[in-house]
Amino acid sequence: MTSLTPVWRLIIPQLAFIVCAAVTLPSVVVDVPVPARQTNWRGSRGQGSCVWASLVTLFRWQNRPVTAAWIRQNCGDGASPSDVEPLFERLGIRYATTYGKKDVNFLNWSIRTHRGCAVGVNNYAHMVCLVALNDNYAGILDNNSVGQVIWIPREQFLADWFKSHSWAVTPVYTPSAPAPSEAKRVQPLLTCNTHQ
Amino acid sequence: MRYFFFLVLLCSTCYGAEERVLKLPEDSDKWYISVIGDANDPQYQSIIQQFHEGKLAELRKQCHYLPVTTDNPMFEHYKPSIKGTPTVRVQDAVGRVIFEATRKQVPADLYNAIANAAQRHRIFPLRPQPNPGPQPNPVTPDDPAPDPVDDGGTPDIAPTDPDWGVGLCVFLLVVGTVLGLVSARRNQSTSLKQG
Repeated sequence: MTSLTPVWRLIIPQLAFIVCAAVTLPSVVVDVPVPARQTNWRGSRGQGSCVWASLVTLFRWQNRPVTAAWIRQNCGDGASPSDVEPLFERLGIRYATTYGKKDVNFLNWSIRTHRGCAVGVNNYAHMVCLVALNDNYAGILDNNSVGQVIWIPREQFLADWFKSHSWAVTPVYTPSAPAPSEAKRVQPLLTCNTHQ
Repeated sequence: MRYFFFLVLLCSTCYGAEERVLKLPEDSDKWYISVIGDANDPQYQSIIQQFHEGKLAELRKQCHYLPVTTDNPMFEHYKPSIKGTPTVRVQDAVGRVIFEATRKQVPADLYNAIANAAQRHRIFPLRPQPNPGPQPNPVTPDDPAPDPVDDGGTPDIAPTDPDWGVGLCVFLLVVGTVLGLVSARRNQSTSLKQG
């Protein structure tokens, strides 16, 4: 058996890691273009509006631009299900939600149907968009930093979501069409940041 | 018992009046129809109108229908992959483009053009069977009324006149393969006799 030079001994495991990670990363099914990703804003009480910002992004993705603009204009500050659900029902907005049930099937459904969902994270202190999920990784679009999708190991993400009352909510309209023949896998070493 | 039935029916009707979706739609097999263009462009308006009439309206209800104007933030999602506006694009559930036409290429008989393209796609079967489901249809106050959410899969679409060219190609392909196999078998048996 031929012996490997020290350089190759260093390179080969790294190459193997890159290939394995690239294979295990899920596709970004909620592939919102950067200009359509709503950044967080301060509401009238000076609080962040992460819940509303996540929902605005999802409304845009599901082709409801007027509803998205209305929420951006009229909503703000921190919010909980008791703020979001009455508003949606008053406006007749079609939505689905889960709270306190650790219902991972809800997350799987939102990704399977390309709708995505807003999920509570950071011990219920923040809300972000879940844009990809498979057995290994979750892809997160954070309204505090909308430039790139953040990849988190699935178990780490789920543990955080469970601690955040496993709250998830999404509009139920028409998800945007996938981009034709788009290479959706992202190089893992460039994007494999943790969420904290 | 009869009153109990009516009570259940009444309760379910009242419950359905809320906009919270209790049965999550399993519509991941649906195809996508995207109509991308300038809202003030008469051709774009005409295409949108066509999708609200006749067979195209039926097709629209079976698919994820996405009218996207150039002032929509999601236009950026489509812009890199279209040749101009207006564009009509039909994609299957995984994003393969089944039909696409831009500007003057958009045919007058749009339904048949899409149906023929879908027919060609079906010759190489890659699709699940359609499975239409229930169709609630609530309306938000601002955006246009959304299409119903259902569990429908691939649209049920067929051209009004059959696409004989494609059928003939497939027939000739099958006949050619069979003749080739017969010929090869004869050659093999001949060479065995010679050997």
